[in-house]
Amino acid sequence: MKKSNSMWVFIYGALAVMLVYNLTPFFWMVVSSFKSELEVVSYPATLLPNVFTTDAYEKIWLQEGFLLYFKNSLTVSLSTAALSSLVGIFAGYGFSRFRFKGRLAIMTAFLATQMIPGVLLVGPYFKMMTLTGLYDTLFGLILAQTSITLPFSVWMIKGYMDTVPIEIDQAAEVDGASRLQTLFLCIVPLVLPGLVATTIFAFLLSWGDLLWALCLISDPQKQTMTLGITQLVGQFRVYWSEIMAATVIASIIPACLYLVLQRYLVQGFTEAAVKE
Amino acid sequence: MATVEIRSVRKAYDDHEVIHGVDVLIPDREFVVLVGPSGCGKSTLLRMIAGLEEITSGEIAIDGRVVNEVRAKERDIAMVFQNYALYPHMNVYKNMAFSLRLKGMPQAEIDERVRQAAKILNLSELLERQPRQLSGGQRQRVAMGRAIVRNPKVFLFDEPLSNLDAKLRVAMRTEIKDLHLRLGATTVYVTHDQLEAMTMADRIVVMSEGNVEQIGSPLDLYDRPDNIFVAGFLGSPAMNFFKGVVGRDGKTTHVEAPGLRLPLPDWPDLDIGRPVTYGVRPEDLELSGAPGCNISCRVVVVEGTGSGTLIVAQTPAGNLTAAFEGRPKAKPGDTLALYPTLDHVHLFDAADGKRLGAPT
Ligand SMILES: Nc1ncnc2c1ncn2[C@@H]1O[C@H](COP(=O)(O)OP(=O)(O)OP(=O)(O)O)[C@@H](O)[C@H]1O
Ligand SMILES: [Mg+2]
Repeated sequence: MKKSNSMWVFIYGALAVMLVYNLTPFFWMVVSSFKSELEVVSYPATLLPNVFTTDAYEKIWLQEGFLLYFKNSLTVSLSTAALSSLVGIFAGYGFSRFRFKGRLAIMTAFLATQMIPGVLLVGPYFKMMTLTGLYDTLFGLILAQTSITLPFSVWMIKGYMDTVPIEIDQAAEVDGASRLQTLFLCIVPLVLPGLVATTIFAFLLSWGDLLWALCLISDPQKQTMTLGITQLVGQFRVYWSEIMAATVIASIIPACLYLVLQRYLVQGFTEAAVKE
Repeated sequence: MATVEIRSVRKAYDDHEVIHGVDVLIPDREFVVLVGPSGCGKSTLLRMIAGLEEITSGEIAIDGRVVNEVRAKERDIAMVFQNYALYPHMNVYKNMAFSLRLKGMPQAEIDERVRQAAKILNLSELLERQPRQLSGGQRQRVAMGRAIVRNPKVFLFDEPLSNLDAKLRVAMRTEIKDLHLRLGATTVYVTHDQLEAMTMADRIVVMSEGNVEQIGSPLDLYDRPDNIFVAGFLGSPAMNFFKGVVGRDGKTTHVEAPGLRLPLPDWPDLDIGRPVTYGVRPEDLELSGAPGCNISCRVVVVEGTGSGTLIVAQTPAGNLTAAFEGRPKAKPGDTLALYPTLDHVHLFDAADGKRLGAPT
């Protein structure tokens, strides 16, 4: 279908509006992070900083302990992503290749857990973590977050593995490969784009988490980025430029992931959609 | 190299039995083709030999050793799949080297074997290619290469040619047969194409609905089919069948079909009035012969195949097909007298479809 000129104007106009709507908060975040504490709350607000300063960054990074929070966040998110993908590879393979009693029931249960809002699970998890002595440890936080990301990872990875013909497994078996060799030499390489997409997804879920960190961590030394940011909202004042600087730093990792791996993401997600 | 013995093998999925007790003995170095219509259980049987499918009851032995409980990877067999199942992320070389790598073979030996196999299969130029960059025929050859580098006890093929176009299929048929002659490996080959079975097999196993109908050399099966199923399955165009009863007219016996008298040779122990099915192959119908020993019919279609001619004609007892070399003069509407070659006529019991004795 050939589109008329006015149609194009409309399409691009709509796109432009959406772009502005989506990007303005980011723009505001970035410019505010370079303003001085005074300027950021001055009225009327300035569009670009009058005085360009990196005070906020220096402050949070050097004085407020965000270096540590950043490390904690990275540890938790990387571990969560790695753990849910690793377990997801095995579980996904099992669900994809074996027909066992209760297979459907377990898979449905996995899916059902996704329907329960995390807030409802916080209480039980808190109890479990205190009982096992994992409360206020990064490991406990990792476990809790993995239990949230895992069902999604398993379902995704199972879906990708379903697209690999079973004859590949059989050919490998006849060729003398063990199950593990089949899985890691023949199946995983074929679902790599999907696996990367799934891993990133789990990473981002974990990276942006506030709820679980808030409920399972109290030691300031073990705070994550998101927790740290909430602390900048003081009782008497809000450190806007510092909050903005911290959020910019927190956004860097997801942004880089998207940039570096967008090929995999697009490929991974479209594959799942098309091949099913 | 090895024998394969299949003894009273049954296979059931849940409660549904799909193989009903099959016995086949495959001698060393033989090329055996399992053939039968879709769904008859050929692949299932092959996959049980491979170890990809559990054996519900009975025994399979490779090289004298019962392998029921032996895993596929330990059976020392190689299999070529219908869709080739090449590893898409490995190039041709790596596909072929995969099994040798797993065995921990020294790199030099792997290299030698792969290059040797590539040479035999004309793949030397393609070793660096990815499977997706290959044509169907080339993929097929890589799949075979993956099998022959192993030097396995038994080769298993599951309809390896069914994804190829007609011309390539004929070429690959020869190539596989030639390979078998050179390597002399015991081979079990599954196909639903009777022509493939006829041309490639040392012995054919005809299956239908989970049973073995007959085992024998291609010409044996063609000339002396045990039952109507085998008679109708092998040969193209298929054998003509007429239902009738045995009759006698003075000294000669014949089969009396509705509105049609079908000539028979001398046939011992044939009860008059017995219900039978009369079978004659299209190429066993001639345009001339002994007086009175003919089937008269009306031509419906004449199909020239180039080298020969097929005539479909109408008789009161149903249509028949006749195949001739050359180009006989006949056109639709003509009345034709066709003379069955009497000692190539087949008779089957009307009730159970079993072959009845033989003409003398
Ligand atoms: N996993 C399974 N579960 C249940 N029934 C099966 C299974 N695999 C095969 N069957 C049934 O077993 C029978 C034999 O199947 P098989 O694949 O061996 O047929 P085939 O002779 O190879 O046919 P084709 O020429 O179409 O490949 C079929 O009726 C099929 O429906
Ligand atoms: Mg089959």
